[in-house]
Amino acid sequence: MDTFVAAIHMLVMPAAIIALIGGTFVGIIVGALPGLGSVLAISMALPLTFVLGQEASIALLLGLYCGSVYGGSISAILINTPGTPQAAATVMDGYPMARAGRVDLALGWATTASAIGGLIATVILAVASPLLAQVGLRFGPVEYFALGLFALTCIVSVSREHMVKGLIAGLLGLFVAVIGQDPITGHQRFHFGSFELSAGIGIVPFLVGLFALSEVLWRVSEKASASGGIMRSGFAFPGFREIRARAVVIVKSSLIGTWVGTLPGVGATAASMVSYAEAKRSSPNRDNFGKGEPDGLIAAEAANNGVTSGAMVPTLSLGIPGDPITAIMLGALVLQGITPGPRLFVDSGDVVLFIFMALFMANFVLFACGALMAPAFSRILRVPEPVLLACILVLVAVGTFSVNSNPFDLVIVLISGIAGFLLRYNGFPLAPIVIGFVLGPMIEQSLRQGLILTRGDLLAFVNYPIALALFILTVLLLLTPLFRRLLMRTRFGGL
Amino acid sequence: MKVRLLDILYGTVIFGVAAFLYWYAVDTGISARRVASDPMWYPKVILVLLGLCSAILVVRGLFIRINTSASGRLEWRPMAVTLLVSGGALLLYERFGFLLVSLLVIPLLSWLLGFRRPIVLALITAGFTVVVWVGFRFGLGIRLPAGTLFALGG
Repeated sequence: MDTFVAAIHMLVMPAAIIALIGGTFVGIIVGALPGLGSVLAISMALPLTFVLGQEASIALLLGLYCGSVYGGSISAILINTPGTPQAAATVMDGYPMARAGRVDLALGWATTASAIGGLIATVILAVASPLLAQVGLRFGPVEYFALGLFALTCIVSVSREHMVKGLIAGLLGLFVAVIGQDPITGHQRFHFGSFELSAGIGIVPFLVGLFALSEVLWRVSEKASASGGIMRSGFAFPGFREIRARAVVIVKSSLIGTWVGTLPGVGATAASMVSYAEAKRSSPNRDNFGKGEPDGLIAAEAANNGVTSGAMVPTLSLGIPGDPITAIMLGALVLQGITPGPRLFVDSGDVVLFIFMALFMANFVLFACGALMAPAFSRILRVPEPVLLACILVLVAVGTFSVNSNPFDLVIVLISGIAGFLLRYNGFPLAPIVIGFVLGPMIEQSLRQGLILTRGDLLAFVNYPIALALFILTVLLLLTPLFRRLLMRTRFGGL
Repeated sequence: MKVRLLDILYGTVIFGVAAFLYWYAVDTGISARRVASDPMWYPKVILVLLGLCSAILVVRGLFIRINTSASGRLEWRPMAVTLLVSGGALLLYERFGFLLVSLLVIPLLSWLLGFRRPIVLALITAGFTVVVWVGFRFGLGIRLPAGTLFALGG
């Protein structure tokens, strides 16, 4: 009961409410602007979390996360361009609906389905996370090491055709994390005589450079894609009778989104595609799919917002981020003194409950913002890209410098931004770098503590049953692309 | 540029960096009898794996034919311009201060990237600068740097 009261107390703090509303509002705008997306929104907000306090920071990040995922649907509906990859499936029926003169209803369905999808997924998060955390409580250093290794390979294995590049990216992230002081002996590592490097690489400049600056560089170097005219937008609530009539597709899509969200590395884009395909298969209106059918729009939107809470299940209960967004969230929570993982549910029950409540609230705020902001959407999409990118660049400098007032942080932003751009240019996924960087210290510490426990015998790690199971899963995940290739070869080899 | 050429180039560079860092780790002379208390053991493991993976990338580039181009066509001129402006803004931010950087970078970069409406640009630059300054100063209680070169803003 005390935990519940404490969580409520955190939620009703004015700073938390303002941050939640502000985060959702900004998230919707960033999500609506094609190409910017959730990762940029959250990485840009990281520096602010230093001054906002724990509750407001968490509320801000959750608002940004939910808002930006939903925001992608706006440009998908209005200009036939998904604002975020998560809204790729929304285009298929959202834009035809708008073209048919039902733009207000399309935005109404997108907002309603997103909010309901997010709410259903949050309830599942609240039920599933503590159960998973119960298992995690049996973990010692060896199990934590196995878990960290598993988390790392999950991301690498979804790099699919870029398997080697994914591994290299993960290793680069792990290496950057070792720069600075050794957590066990206190020795300085890889500082090359630099005082600034002896403190290690800060998470904020590293991630802001890697994602925000590299995104700016990437967007200016890409050939500009011409979009069609932007139609005037408004909001039309579909009505409770309509919602009841389409309840099956809403609930089913939300469940698909939540389930896919819990799988590390799969993400909201895949969730909305799976959900869209399932709705097309089972809907009585399947013939209208692709021509402006609300079921198609609902399936895509309920699923991609369901992922937001689904992805938080492994992040909060085991400390495993499922995608780059939750990886940055994980880093932001660590910055706030909150270490996601099984102990979080024991040591900071009020914070966990606050996160659930804030996520729940974020979906109501998302609905309100979506409804109120709808007439302004068409104007937001008219912001010229050169001006937008220049403003982002200034915000990168201002935000990062404000954290420590350390000019060296801006050097790190520049270097990691250039590195991020160059890696992206040759198809290196950036997500494993973040995962490696965020999980690196935990992996190293648990590995070395485990070695102390087993008197330096690495092979003795397999004597721990949970760790052994995780090692086997890790190996299987690493071998999956190989199995898939072999299967394809035996199946189609004779053709 | 073809992906296989880039793979060879990237793999070679990463291998070289990993080899140098490994040598540096050995050269520091920090080590311990027990692996768990050796601060350089874990980084060395990462560097060996990094070297191995980058070698695989090079070998794959040399012997497996991948003829696709990297990431479509990119426009290098605006990228170079943005990089120059970004570098200048980030490296001189403390010295020039927020006001000067914001008032210079937004119009300069927007203009260089092709936005040619001076009045709109001036209004956006002024509006954005004021909103950010007020937001940080009064909303978050952070004093933005005035710059050591000129005593502006703050």
